[in-house]
Amino acid sequence: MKVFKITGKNLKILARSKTTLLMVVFGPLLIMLLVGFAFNSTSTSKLNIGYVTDKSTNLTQSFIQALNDNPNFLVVSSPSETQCVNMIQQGKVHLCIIFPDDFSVDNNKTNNLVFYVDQSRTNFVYAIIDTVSSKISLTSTQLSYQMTNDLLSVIDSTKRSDTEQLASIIALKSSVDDMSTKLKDVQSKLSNLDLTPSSVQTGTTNGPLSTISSDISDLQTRGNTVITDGQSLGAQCGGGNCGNLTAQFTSAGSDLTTKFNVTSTDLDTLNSSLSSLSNAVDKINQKLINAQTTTTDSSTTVDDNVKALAQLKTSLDDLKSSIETTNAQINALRVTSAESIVNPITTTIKPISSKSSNLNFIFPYFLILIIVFISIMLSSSIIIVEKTSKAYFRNFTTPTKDLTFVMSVFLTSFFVVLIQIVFILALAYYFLNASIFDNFGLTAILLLCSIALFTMIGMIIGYLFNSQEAVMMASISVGSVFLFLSNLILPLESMSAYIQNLAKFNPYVITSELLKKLTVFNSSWADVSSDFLIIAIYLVVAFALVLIIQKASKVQFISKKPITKQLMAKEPTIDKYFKLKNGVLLMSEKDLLYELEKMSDKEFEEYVTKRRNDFESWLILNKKHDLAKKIKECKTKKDMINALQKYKDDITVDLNKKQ
Amino acid sequence: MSTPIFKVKGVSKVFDRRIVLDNIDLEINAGEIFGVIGASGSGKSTLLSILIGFLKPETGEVSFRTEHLLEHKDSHIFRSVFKYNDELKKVVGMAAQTPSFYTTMTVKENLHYFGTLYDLSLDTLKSNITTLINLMDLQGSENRQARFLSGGMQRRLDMACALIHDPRILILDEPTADLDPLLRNHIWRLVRKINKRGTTIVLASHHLSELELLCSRIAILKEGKILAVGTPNELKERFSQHEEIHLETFPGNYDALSNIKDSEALKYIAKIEDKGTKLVIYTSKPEIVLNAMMKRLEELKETIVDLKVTRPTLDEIFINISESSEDKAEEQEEEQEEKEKKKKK
Repeated sequence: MKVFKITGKNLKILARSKTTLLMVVFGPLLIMLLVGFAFNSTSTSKLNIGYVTDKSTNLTQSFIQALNDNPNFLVVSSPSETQCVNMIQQGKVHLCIIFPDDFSVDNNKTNNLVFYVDQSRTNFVYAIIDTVSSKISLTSTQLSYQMTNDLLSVIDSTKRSDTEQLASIIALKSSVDDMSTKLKDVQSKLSNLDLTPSSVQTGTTNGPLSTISSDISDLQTRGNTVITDGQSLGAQCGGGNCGNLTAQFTSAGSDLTTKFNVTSTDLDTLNSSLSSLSNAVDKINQKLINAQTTTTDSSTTVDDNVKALAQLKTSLDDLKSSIETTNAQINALRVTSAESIVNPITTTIKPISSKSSNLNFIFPYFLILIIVFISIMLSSSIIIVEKTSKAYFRNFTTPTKDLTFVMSVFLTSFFVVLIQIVFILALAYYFLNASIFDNFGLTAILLLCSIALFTMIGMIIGYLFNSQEAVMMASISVGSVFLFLSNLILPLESMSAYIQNLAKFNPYVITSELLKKLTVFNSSWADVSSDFLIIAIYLVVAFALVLIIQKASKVQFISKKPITKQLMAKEPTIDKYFKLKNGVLLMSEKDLLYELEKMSDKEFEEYVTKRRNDFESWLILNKKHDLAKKIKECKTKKDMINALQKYKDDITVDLNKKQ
Repeated sequence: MSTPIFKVKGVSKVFDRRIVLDNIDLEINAGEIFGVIGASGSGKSTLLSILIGFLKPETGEVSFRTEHLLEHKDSHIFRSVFKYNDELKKVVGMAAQTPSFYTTMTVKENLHYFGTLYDLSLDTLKSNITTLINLMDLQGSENRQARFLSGGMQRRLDMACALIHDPRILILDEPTADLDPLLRNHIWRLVRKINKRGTTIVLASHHLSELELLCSRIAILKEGKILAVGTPNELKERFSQHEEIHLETFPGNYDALSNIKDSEALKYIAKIEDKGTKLVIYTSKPEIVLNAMMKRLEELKETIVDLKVTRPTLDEIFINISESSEDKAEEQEEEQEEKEKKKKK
């Protein structure tokens, strides 16, 4: 097939062009190797840190020591702030820390560390700040941790002490309650004590006693009577039971007499006892009266004490309540761990990928970057070499379709870039341990699409421009635009919203991000299908543009008509031209104005006389009657130029009004 | 009777608001060597590009006879070169002003490559390559890269590439430009050889004196117009009734020599040109003028270094035509001015 023959020819020519081969084929391989070795590490950057401290404190020293302990830092002292800043400007240090003179942890004191960085290292400055700040923060955190721990210990011990005190208070309160209760009880009892002396009227007992004695005497009398009667009876009765009866009555009578005697004695005793009792009662009454007084006094004292105890209880209650509140507040503290206070929120950075080397992260971007530059430069070079070659013309004399030539250029470039990429991938895999074969199928499709897309972009450039220098400049410029509007140099998020929106359409961004998804995150088809669709659309559009621009380029080569002019409106047909005597054709009133400004008055008079106006006739022929009327009366060149200018301005005004 | 192979009717072409070809009518016959002559910028290359269908004219039509295409048996059918461009390209070969081949490919590789673009079979291609290498005297250089060939060899390689597919028509644009006389002769010999094989050749050149020996017919182009078409003799007959006496003398006092006193001779002298190194006398009666010149030479004690009497060459005819055209234009301008002045009065 012709396509393959032409492709073979292109490869042959490429192979014989040592400069092209060197620049476009081997150059990128070398760059890729260097990049691979440079980025194949996980270590952080080596930083040179300068510091300034006029009066070094313990805290300053501990910070400096902490920085020194990090093997990635080289810490250098600087005598002054100015000199330290100068060291940054000279590139001797990356960052400068200014320690305050009284750098210490003290009550109500904030310590401010000042960092100087070189902001022009936009891609590195945040890494520098972040690295050192994190070290400073770590040390600061450790101090905070210590202090917080102390605080918490004190709080804890206070809480324990409070708890103990609370128990005591509760016990005390309980005792107070008891006491209060008892005192109240006592008070109650005291108040309930009936110490009202009672008068015991012993005289009153005399009467009854006498009565009793009298009664007893009566009784005795009656009793004796009875007995006598009884005895009589008994005697009357005669023997047997009656005899007993008499005995009984006799016995009873003696008993009775005894009893009456005893009773009388007793009554006397009683009487004397009563007297004594009365005396005692009187004494007791007196004592009662005294006791009553004492009781009243005591009751008052007890009452006072009860009140005092009540107050004490209230105070104890308050104290308890306060301690409880404090305890409750202490208990209510959600965070009791020093670590949680110092670092309430910790962050754990978990990689979303198992890859660890920097190369694995940056490899997709660099691989696509290589594809971008090689594809664009190679395909544009092939085309411009062809266009500037002697043989370019001869290809058009053959019965070969333009599409065949376009496809052959595409295949040539595609094939070369593909070989290079395969080679790069093999090198990356074997020497740099880049993981590239995860998700191999989709990755392969993406790489092929990327090569195709950027090859076509390069072809567009090749067909657009006509010199090798222009093509090279355009290729590098386009590649650079793709590079700058991407995440590789600065994050897109740091750019303006307009640029970010523009970057979304950057094919380099689309393809490199997609490659990253496939190789680093192992994304599935469902996650990347929309990206592939966008790339497919780009491919179709690029192919269409290649065909259009190739056609225009061919027309330009053959007819020397620039591509820009080809895009302009069609020119009028030749029968409507006005041919001046110097051979120049006027195709429009614009040409007429242009030529009028250049021609002399004498030349003008060859076309416009009193009797004829060739320009008017020409305009009428071209059905521009309005303009023809305007220039009809113009007998001088100046008048005609003014008339044409005015006509042009009027048209412009009308157009503006319509807009 | 020769049959036309190309017909050009009313072709005009404009480039950048200048008419490069103005209403050209032309026919090129099969089997002839047809020359197109004109000054630089006269439109020769444009005409050839239109013939092969590269450029589309603003007006007019160019057609070619399809007899030579196997699938079209009817000899009277003429088809547009633009609509049937692919078919035309199969039977036309073109060698442009600048040799057109790949400089980093060898002679054989170039021929092989261009041959494949004509879909030639491998056997045909090999055979054609061998034939052309022999025809173009490129033996021994087959495996040398084109950039290492001499100027003449490069030109021959270019022609070989144009002939690789054995075309019926060969178009050559300034094939001997920048070549020394020896090489130019060599190229013309090749052209004759190719023509003898039956190939119609259309060539453009401004080496008029060489074309008049080579071409069957010549068209003279000036400022986009065809001034004349005919055989070299026809053109000479038409545009020059004089012969030329070329006289070179020593010590070469041509001013005095020009001052011929013989009144008889003066009647037949149309023009005397002092070329600096020789005198050219245009005359319809060279023998009378020569007699007068001999006497004058004797008077001035001049010695003849070289003397020849020739018909004017195409170069001279062309110059005359051009000058006369310019003169005519100037005359017309002057007439117009006078008319205007009269009208003003």
